[in-house]
Amino acid sequence: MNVVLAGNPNCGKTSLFNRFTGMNQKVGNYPGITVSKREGSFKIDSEACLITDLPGIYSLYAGSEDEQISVNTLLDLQKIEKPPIILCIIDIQSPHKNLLLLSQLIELGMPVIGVFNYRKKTTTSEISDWIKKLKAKYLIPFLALNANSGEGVNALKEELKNNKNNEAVSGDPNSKVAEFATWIKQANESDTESNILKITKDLRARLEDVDNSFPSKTYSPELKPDSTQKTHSKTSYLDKLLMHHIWGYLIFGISLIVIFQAVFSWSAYPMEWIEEGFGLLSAFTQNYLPSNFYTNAISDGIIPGLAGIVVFVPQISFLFLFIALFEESGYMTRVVYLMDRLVKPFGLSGRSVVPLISGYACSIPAIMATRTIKNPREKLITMLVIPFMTCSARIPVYTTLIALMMSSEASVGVFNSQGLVLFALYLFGAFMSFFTALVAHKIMKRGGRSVLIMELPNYKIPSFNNVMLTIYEKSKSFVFQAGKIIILVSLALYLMSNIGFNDTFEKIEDNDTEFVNQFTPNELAQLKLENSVIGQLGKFIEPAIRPLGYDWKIGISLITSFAAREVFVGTMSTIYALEDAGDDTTSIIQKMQSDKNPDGTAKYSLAVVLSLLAFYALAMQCLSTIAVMYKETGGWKWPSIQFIVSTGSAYLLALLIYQLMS
Amino acid sequence: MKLTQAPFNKPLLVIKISDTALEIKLLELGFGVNTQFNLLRQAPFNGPYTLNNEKTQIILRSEDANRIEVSIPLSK
Repeated sequence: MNVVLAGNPNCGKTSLFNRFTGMNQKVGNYPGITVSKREGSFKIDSEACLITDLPGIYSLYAGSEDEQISVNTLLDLQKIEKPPIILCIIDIQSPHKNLLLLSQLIELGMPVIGVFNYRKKTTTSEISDWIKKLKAKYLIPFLALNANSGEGVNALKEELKNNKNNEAVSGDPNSKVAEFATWIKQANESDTESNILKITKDLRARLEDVDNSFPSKTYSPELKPDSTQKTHSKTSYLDKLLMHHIWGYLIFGISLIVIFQAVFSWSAYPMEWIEEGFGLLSAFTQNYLPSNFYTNAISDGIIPGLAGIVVFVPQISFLFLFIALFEESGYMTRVVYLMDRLVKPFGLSGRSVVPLISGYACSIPAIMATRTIKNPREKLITMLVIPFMTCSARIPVYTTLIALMMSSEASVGVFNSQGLVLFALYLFGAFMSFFTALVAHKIMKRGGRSVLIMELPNYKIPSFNNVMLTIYEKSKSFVFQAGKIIILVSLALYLMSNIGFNDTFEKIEDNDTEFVNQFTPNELAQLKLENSVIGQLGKFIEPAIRPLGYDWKIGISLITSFAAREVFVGTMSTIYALEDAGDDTTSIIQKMQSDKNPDGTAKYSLAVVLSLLAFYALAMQCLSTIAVMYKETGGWKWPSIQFIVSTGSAYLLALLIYQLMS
Repeated sequence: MKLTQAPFNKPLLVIKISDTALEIKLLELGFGVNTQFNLLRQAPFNGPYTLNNEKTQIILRSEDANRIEVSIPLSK
């Protein structure tokens, strides 16, 4: 059996979807676009049912791209011989708007079951009164349930079972139905004057009909001063504070700091545990499996690759904890109100702000967070510019490079110079994000004028279930979808640094005692890396990076950095034949500082360091980000464009800096 | 007068909406021509407006507010 959920935004559709599917759900995209497609499955007795949650719509006259998807899906379903059962959700808080859509769905001849979503405080007599009236008016099955508590969901399952083969629910495909379907199709395809007139006339007639059938008295706040009125006044009281010119921004600012702290610092603990856990696992395989190439590939390739995926889960979880709380409570629309004007000139939406700021911690959860942006164009622009924000993986690279440039004691007034440079790099990241957004906004095709009208829902206490399911679903989809690409490429990088085809490499591999004994183990590791495929590749690209002031050693680091930027420091340690010093970068800085060019000048001159900083600030050197972009945009087009633009601009800026300064 | 010139926290009446996409959206949300509503607040720097009627509270951008003609209804 197939079931489709339709209804207004914020009517409880997603809660009901979560009730039905629990963990059996997946969120993907409609083909070719960034509109989310939520599908899941559940069982009635032993029969498996597929359920699709359509993007929220107010009527069958679509405005935005996600609304268009809903309407097109419904029109397509209408044509098939045995259409799925449509569950149309009617929210008790705004029944009239919901009934407008219901009346259209019925007219479309779909097998519709009306689902009346009530709240904790709604009285039983109120519910039965509504159900009685609705059944009398629309002549379709109606059921009441509380999507938040799950009350009534089993009764709905029973009803679905009864309706499985019930022809009576599905309207006969008579001429009237076909006529209405044709009209809806036509109305959504061309906005001629006469169509618009007809649309407004249709909407007016339906609203009037609803108003007349269910006069305001039955739902007006005056009737239930102790429930609805209270939520209304609670909401307006909170709005006075949260939408205030000063307090509103202050509170939002503070919540951003808290989010940032969570993604940046709090998640550091579980991330450390994950890394240690995988480290132990790696040591375990190393110790207990026969020592050969495959064991090494597992312990040094696959396990660290897996660790590199799972390590992002804490950050993703923390970010989505807050985003789900914002969305569920109704606060996110207030954020849009506060921020929309400030970011609109850059083609961004008020909803872009949280993902953009999260980009300072890590691009991966940040890009995933753009799902909350409804307008596909604004969503795409946000996704494209997030990787320019200074993510935490750049910090070890920046601090190492800055330390090469100036001593830690240097200061400007009361400020430490190293800190100032780091701050400037952070600002540069934000500047590049907004600048790129502006450019994209100017050159990307616009899908008509974007009308931003958003309902401000009443505040409510977030449902624990929904928040946890969001976190679970996001982490799962990252690990299983983006993870596949990440592990493949990390394995490839591992193989490339452990396979070599020249004499030196083979001598090391064969443990040629005469040769090996001339070197310390660290020097051997350096020689091995230098003569591996990746080392040869570093030398191969040297002519291309020479104009930026880089040699093959930096070349190797640039290549390995594509796994993740912070790998730069580790690779440099191996190249300079250092023991893995962990977080301590002093020795690597000293080694790099004393490295000289053949003519005796320092290899890491100011020009080279600045050029490297510029390169690391802009280049798309994060495999996981590319994988997430692929997953979120449903193809290679946008990740490729993003890669070419950012790495290209990184190359050009680094070139410019080096050539001007040397 | 235009909605952008209307006073805050006074009953207002929608007279005319001079943009079709906007009119459809507003109708769906219960803010069609002839409905009465309140203008609650506006975000700084000419940001979005918040309006409400007895059923719904919405936000809309100031350029859209500029396309809505309103009047102050005569008191009873």
